[in-house]
Amino acid sequence: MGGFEAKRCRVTVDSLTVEVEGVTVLRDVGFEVDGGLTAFIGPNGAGKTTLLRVLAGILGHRGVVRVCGLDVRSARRISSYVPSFLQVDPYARVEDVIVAYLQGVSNPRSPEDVLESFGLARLRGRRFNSLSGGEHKLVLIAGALARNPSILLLDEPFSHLDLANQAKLARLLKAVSENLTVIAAVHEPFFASLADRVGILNSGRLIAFGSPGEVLRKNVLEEVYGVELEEVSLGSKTLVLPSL
Amino acid sequence: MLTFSYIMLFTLSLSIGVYKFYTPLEIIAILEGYGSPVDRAVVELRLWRGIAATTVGIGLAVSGLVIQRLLGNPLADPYILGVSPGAALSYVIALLLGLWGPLKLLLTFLGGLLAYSIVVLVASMVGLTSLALIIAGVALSYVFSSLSIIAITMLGPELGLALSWLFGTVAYTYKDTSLTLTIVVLASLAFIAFNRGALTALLLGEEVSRALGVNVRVLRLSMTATVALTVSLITAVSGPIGFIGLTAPWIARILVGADFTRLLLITTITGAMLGLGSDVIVRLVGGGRELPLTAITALLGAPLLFYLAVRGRHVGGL
Repeated sequence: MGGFEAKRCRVTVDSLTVEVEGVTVLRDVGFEVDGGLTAFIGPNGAGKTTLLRVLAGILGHRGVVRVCGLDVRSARRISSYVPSFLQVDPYARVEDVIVAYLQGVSNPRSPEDVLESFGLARLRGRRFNSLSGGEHKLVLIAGALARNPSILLLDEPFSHLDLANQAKLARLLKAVSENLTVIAAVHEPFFASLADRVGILNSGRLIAFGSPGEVLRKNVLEEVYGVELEEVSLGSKTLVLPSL
Repeated sequence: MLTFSYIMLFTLSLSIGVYKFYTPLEIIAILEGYGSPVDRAVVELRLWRGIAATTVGIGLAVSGLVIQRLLGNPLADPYILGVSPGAALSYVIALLLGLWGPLKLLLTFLGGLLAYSIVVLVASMVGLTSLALIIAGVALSYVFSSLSIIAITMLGPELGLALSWLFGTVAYTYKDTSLTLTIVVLASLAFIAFNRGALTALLLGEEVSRALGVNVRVLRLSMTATVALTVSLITAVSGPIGFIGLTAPWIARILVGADFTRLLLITTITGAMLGLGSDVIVRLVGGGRELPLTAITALLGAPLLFYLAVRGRHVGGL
């Protein structure tokens, strides 16, 4: 889907600290990934979005952050960032949003071709603001991927998606992460469990980083979220859900 | 279709006026050198006036489009945000001070830029929301307009001409002024077109645009200066004219969506038509006298704005 070149790249973060208006939002964060799908999970305000914004080159920071061997500002030409929410001009069509994402790309694909290749041809000509929250996400991710980036940064990609679109997006991210580096901030432990690596952020600190099996442990999540959880087996998968 | 309509409108602009009506065949003959010296002078005046009205329309429309994209606010325009009223006040002050031509234009430009900066500064004190910008802009524009009216009454013998200018007119725009205005507006248009990639990306908001490599701060500064320069020069020539900067980009939006390159092209045409169309109407409906341009642009623009505001509720709101 999408026709990507193999461009995965290494991301190195060391001693990353971010202060926003005098408040330390990220403190001494360090990790390294080399391609694949990496998910960051943690409570609201843990620093997930801040980390993505640093990697996207739009937030000042202290410490070392290298993306594909480049400093984050230089790496903006080879990265794509999708925020958790985006409001655009009320008259913007879906194609206009794709065209906006393709700015600065040499020989960009046509927006119609992009929509077609992501199975979104049915949205052609629609006003972006008239789409559902899930369709918003899919269009933005299609635009971001159409830039043919080396690294894709996604903030809450699964929010607002129905089950069918969650499955579609999960398959898409698994597929594209074989060829490029994907880093996503997610809320659901289930989606984090699909990643190659998972990081848990809590109060600006990276308290765990490793494979999903190592990191997504019930007792760790209970401590981080401050709620009682239970593990539910569903076929070969184990889901971690709040205990009600 | 739009281009054809514009050509028809321009022909009409050459035909009508307080002095005499010319048929298209008569106009062609006069432009080829036939007809009396008076006829040739009248058609030449109408020609430069038509070019000035077109250029004023294009300059205001494209400036409105750029301001709307920069602020992510579809209700913004150079008049509502204080550029035109601020430039007008500075121009009147320059007239009172008896300043020399280029200095007068420089003061007008600085006045437009300062007024816009004050509006943005005041709005930012309450969060720089769409509503805050409009309230600050409208309130301060009234203040600048009131001060202009007070200042203009001190002018003496030039009062009549200045009042006519204050209500908007291109009736006294001759060849040199019209050419200067055209060059500045075309240069401004070319510079905006040169930055169309960054302005296209800005559809996605400041955060994503920056992530795509757009230097939003430099873009804002350069585009704000371009708009202030263009609108200030237009104001110095034709007076403070409202609604074109708001309405022309909106009509373009309805026609082609929000892709900046297409919007720029269509806004240029709709701006040209609104500018020239308004100038034709002031000559048509005045009954031997010319009406103020601002009265017509507002009469054309206000109902359209209301219609768009109502329609906007169905496409995600304003």
